[in-house]
Amino acid sequence: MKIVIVGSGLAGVTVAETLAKGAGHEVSLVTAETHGYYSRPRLSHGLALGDEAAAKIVLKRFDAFPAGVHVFAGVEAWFIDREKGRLGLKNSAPLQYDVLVLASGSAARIPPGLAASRPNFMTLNSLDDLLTLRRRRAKTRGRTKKPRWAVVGGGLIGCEVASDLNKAGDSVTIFHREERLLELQLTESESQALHEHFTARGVEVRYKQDLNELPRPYDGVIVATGFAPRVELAKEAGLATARGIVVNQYLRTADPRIYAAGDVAEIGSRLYPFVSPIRSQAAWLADHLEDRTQKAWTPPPFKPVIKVHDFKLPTPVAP
Amino acid sequence: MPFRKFACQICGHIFDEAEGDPTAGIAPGTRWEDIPDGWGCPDCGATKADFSLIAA
Repeated sequence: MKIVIVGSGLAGVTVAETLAKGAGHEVSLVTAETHGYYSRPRLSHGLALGDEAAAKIVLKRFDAFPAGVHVFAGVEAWFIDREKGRLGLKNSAPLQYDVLVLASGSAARIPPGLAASRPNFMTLNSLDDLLTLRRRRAKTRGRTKKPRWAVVGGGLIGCEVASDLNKAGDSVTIFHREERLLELQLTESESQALHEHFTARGVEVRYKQDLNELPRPYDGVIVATGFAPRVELAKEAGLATARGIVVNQYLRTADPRIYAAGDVAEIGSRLYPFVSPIRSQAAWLADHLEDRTQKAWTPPPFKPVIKVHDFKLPTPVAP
Repeated sequence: MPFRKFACQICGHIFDEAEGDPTAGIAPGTRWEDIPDGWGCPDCGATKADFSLIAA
């Protein structure tokens, strides 16, 4: 089978590598990335690393993939020709597919009020973003001992980034839209514990900040206000999209040859943008494509973990 | 052999042999080789294959 995968994140790479182990498929992986395969969760702890450690964020260069995977690096997927079973690429010949796996992940979500300010803030959604941030930080430290950052967004990534910069010795202020940090994941008392943790370390947190312009004056503003799954390719091909690409319990779109996995896959109105379910989806998909399973995918139990330096959630008191 | 530390390459979590992962049934002092293949990173669920030994 000719299997074409779009995206070199956790989902795309896990599907590709698992399939390459099996019997004689032609696996092509198309990615706009250029540095190699890396783990996005580690980006938010990559701000204060030395250059040597930062280089290790790339787990596998694209020329080091197993022989069975043909990687098209630095190539953007352009359109899906469903009738002819072809994926159009920018600046490259189209790829025929028997099966197409859309694993394009998500882009940084920009709050509408800040869209006009896009040239003046940074995001942390990719390795390129991280390298940009590190360069800005190095430049700022060239002229001031203690860079001052504004982090817009007090969710998972915002808090991790703030924690990392704080641990590195920089000054950080978090601007959060809601009334408490990580309101989607934490209880009120857990948010309070996190607030106190940050305050004790000199991280300022401001709540109910629905910004229409960038906070000033800071050496850099980092916007971390969620992710937007990359659904454009699917949408333009006439596939159903909502927050993500709509698929059934077999990760399949309405087109029997087209699947979605990872951040971008919306299953039963849910997205599963975490390592554990994504790994599980990818392993299941490889099994499914090789007819090793008739059952639908079911998410494993998982709980997103906050990786804020030196912070552990208070354990609930036994009744 | 002194206790070793392993880093999850996916999320950065450090597994310390000396501490184990008691909530997952891995007692402190358990050697890496003796941890079952089905064990997952407590923070992100990645597998043993995703961990790298941290040089002492």
